[in-house]
Amino acid sequence: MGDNRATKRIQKELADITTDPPSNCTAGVMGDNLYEWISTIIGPDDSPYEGGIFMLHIVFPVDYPFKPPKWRRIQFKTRIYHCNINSNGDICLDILKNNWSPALNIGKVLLSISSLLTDPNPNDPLVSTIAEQLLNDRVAHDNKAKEWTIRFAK
Amino acid sequence: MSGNNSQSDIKPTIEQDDYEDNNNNNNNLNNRTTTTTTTTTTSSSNNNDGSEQSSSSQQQQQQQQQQSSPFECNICFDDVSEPVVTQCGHLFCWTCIFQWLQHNSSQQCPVCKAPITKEKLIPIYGRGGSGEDPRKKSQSIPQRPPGRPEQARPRGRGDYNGGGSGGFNDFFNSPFGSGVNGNIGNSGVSFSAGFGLFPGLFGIHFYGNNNNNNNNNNNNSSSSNSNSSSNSSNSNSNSNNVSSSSLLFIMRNSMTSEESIFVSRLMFALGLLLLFFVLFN
Repeated sequence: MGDNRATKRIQKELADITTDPPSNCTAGVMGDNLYEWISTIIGPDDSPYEGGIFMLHIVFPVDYPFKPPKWRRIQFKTRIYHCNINSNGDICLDILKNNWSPALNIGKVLLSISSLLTDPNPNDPLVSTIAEQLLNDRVAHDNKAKEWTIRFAK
Repeated sequence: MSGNNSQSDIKPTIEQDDYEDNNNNNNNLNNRTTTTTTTTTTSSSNNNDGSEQSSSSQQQQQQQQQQSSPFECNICFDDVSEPVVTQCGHLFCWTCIFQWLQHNSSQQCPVCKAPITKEKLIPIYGRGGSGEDPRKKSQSIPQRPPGRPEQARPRGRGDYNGGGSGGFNDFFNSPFGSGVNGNIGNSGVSFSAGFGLFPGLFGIHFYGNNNNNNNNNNNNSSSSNSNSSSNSSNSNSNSNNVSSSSLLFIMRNSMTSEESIFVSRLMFALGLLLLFFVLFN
């Protein structure tokens, strides 16, 4: 029963996100499995990631939407220089952990990730060296982020 | 995106259809179905590779219509089944919100994070629909909490004092006609002075009985009751008072007349007993 409901809900989300995608984001099913999505986020204009196209891999849990796409289940597939995203592409975002709500959807999650690119959170870092650089030398951090964006995301 | 645009183009025409006369209903319905199917075919041609059939496009049309519905569960994003609403006003299927409360230890509303409890969810009973529950009830999910109708509004403290003497007067006046009423009306000042509390108590008892039978009448009478009490305290407009109070008595009363006369006489006797008890002790 839970399976069926999760499937229905994911189908709804897919229809929503195809007809009315959030700005700078796209998402769609990867292959035949409805529970595996591939998504892109375009680097926000006012960030060092501007112009980059970042791919994400999303795997929905079976008990979605009561559980979020979990740790290591929503990952950047494109390398990115960001203090809340590690080299595996894992994302540190509160709504993907304790603050998840079933009223959220993938569109909103993608928007949150997009705003995380604009406003990194160095106080709760996943990569502490990048967070320290961001706090101590913002210019160097932004330059490196731009460099990585050009190298990996274009 | 093209599907999106055409959808927004067509929306106003649908709304116009809604405002047109009922006479044209059939035509409108036809128009509506044709317009929406065109949108769905354009959008579906984006998604699929143009392999749509008329039946599938109709399904999609239904889905699209449902998307604009305000009565979707905030968890399954589907039309609500067994709807319940939180105290913060957010709508859910009972099964959905129940499961969420099982998963979520902090017991928060998924939409606004306000604290919620299972017991305080309010079920919504529409017309029909209970038999059309698409989800089979599993045994692990209990019945949603029942509705909690507000009890017939008890009369406030202020009413007891203000309306109490009125109730008392009504009560004693009405069954005995104008003659008795004259007496009581005249001596009513001393009555209400001496029995500030007791008439009120009688009043409660009396209304308590009637509450069960007839709420509406009771509401009416209680509001106009206070009017009559102010009348009686003036005791200038005695005749007015008689007619209105006896009318009230009839209105309020859903018992048979014998019963009511018996009850009121009983109360009258009790009142007199109390009066004597207080006076001669």
